[in-house]
Amino acid sequence: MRTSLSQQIQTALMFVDVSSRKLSEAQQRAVSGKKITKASDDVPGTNSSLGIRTSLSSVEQYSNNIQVGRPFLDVTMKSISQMANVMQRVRTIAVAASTEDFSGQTTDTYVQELNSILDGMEDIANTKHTDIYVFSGGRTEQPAILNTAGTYTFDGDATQRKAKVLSWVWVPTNVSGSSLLNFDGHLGAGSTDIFSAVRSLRDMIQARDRTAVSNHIEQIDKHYDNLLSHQAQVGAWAARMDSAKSSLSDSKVRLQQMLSDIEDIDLPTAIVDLKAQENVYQAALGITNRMLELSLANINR
Amino acid sequence: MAGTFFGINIAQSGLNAQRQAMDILGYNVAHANDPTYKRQRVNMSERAVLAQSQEASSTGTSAFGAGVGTGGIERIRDALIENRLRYAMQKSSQWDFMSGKMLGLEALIGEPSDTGLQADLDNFWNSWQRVATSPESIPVRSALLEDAKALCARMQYLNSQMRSTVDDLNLSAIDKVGQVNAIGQEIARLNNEISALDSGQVPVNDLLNRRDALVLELAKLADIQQHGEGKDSFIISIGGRVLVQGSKFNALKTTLAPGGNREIEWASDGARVSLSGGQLSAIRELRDVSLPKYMAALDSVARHLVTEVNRIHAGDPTATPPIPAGNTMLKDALGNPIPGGNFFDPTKLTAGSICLSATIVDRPELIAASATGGVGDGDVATAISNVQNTVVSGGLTINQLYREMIGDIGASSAMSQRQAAAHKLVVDQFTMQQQAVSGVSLDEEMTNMIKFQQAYNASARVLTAMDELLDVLVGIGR
Repeated sequence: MRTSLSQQIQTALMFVDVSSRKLSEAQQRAVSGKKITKASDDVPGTNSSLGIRTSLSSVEQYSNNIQVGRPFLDVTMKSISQMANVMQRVRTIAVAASTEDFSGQTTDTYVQELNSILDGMEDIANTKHTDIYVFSGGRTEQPAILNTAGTYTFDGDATQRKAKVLSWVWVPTNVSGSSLLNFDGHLGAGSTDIFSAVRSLRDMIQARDRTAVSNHIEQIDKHYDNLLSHQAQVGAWAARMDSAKSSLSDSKVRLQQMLSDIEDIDLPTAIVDLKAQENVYQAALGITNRMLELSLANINR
Repeated sequence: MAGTFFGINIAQSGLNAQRQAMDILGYNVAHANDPTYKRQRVNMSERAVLAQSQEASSTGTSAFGAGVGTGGIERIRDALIENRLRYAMQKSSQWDFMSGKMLGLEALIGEPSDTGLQADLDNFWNSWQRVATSPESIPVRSALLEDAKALCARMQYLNSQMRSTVDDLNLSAIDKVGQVNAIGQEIARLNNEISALDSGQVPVNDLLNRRDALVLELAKLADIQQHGEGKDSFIISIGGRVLVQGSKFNALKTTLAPGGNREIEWASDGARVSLSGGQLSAIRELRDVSLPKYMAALDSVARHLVTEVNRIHAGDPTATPPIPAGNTMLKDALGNPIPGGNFFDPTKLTAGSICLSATIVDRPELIAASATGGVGDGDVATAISNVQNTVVSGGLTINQLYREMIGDIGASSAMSQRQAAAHKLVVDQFTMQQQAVSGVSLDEEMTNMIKFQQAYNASARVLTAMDELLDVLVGIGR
């Protein structure tokens, strides 16, 4: 086969061209740190990468939801436990009142204490966290309990607020006052809301009706148990959020690792590759130079 | 018996022939770096005795020739290789053009990254979750509106960029058809010139080289076929119709079709040019098949986004079971919550037009996040955030529809890049082969130079010897 000058030059150019392109690709990989910079670099990889990015973004959002929702549970739990403490005191008063002979002075003390307990309970039921009334159900802009001349009414609704903590898993972030304080009457026939129960006790003590007080203790106990069972429930929700939170941070690390495996280069490999391509390129230039110098025209002067 | 000066004539013919060979050699060397040049060679042949002497014919002794003649200057080429090179060139430039445009499209979409449409979609769904967690917060609701606007803006941008790619392709079509016409006309003109000169003894090699180069240029633009070499039988056709025949040329044109595309047609009767290679065919493929497909895929993402979100936000009485409308933060005169309207404008169902409904666009309180009407209830926002994981079409979610489009673009781009690289290799191979046949080898020319130089010297020596012989002859008479 003949070898013409253009052929020599074309071969040289192809050689230099290919090695310079490979060098530039190796350089781009080493500098950007990415295996995939566009979809065509790795089509299935791009698909996975987009999916993982969505999952990562969701995981971050779930963590954010937990961050927003968890304090509400804390506030709720604290308020319920305050309320339970108060009810324990109410029960102590009821037991005391049912067993002792009423003298005018102790009656007044009990009545006064129960009145201030009612005020305190109203405050607890209207607890706010970041401008939100936590026991109002979905009507968070208004207090849960309305006190019109000593008559307490529930002004919220039974809405269950939720935070998404994992895909398809929601954890409630509130307890509605209607169930917590038995405005919905779920404690059974004859049961009243917690305010009416305490108010009845006060009126019974004021009327010095020992039998009635003694019979009423059962109602007080029911309310106390109701508070405790709600407290346990809220505690369980908080535990679910905490476990979701730690599994989310695991997921985040795992997803980032997966994304990195798909998208990122192995830097030592990239640098070795770059160095190798650099040598090939230099060799290409050197050989081309040597080859093009060789010509009869240079010798045959 | 030959004439007295017969030998001198022979020597002189030798001098002339070697001189001409040296001239052509110089011409070859001068064109050593001209990629379209095909090396030439002087064909030397025996020169017959013009009038044979009576004696030679009567005695039966065959006369030898009257020296060396030059039987024309030949172009060294291989038509088969040139044909193959042309075919490879069509494919190579077709895929090269295609891969260039596809890479541009990929750069435009910018996936995978933290800033593409995927990120905007993720932000949008996450914003609904934030509203679901804190439905009473106006700042969180405003952030949702901003994220939704960013999503709409991104879709409109992608759509407009795809549209402008189509516009660019139409401009390219006009430009390339212009090039086909210019080259076709030039070939027809060259044919005319060649047939005029070739009848005489004027060498037309340079014109033929120029024509070969133009035909190769033309092959980059369209899948041309070349037949015949003669005066009127030299034909270049595209898709079975004649573009150039001899000095006749049939032009192409572009016409504005309804929809704004430039159709590539024959100027004489407006018939569609059938193309299966070259850049013109790549333009057609991208403009009529690929980009409409991607734009439709993006439109489908937009359409499902608008209808699925609106269905939950504004309610859908036709669904089974009927979906009640969500409730806004506002109350009417009777204290009942006002139900939500459309979130996205329901009449704007394409990626190019998608936008928020005019009523909601700067009224975060009108986002219908609540099922009960209580401002602290986020059940409807939760339901909308779940659209992210809801299958909307063909077993795919909205996110997956978008990812399918990205995968489609990536696969097409990767395929066109591989094809371009493969066909470039073929073009390189045939170019090498063609250069092996037709290219100038300096070493060969240098060797030939010595050869012709020596032959010239020898012929001159023969001439001197003949001269001495004649001197002897003339000396006898003295």
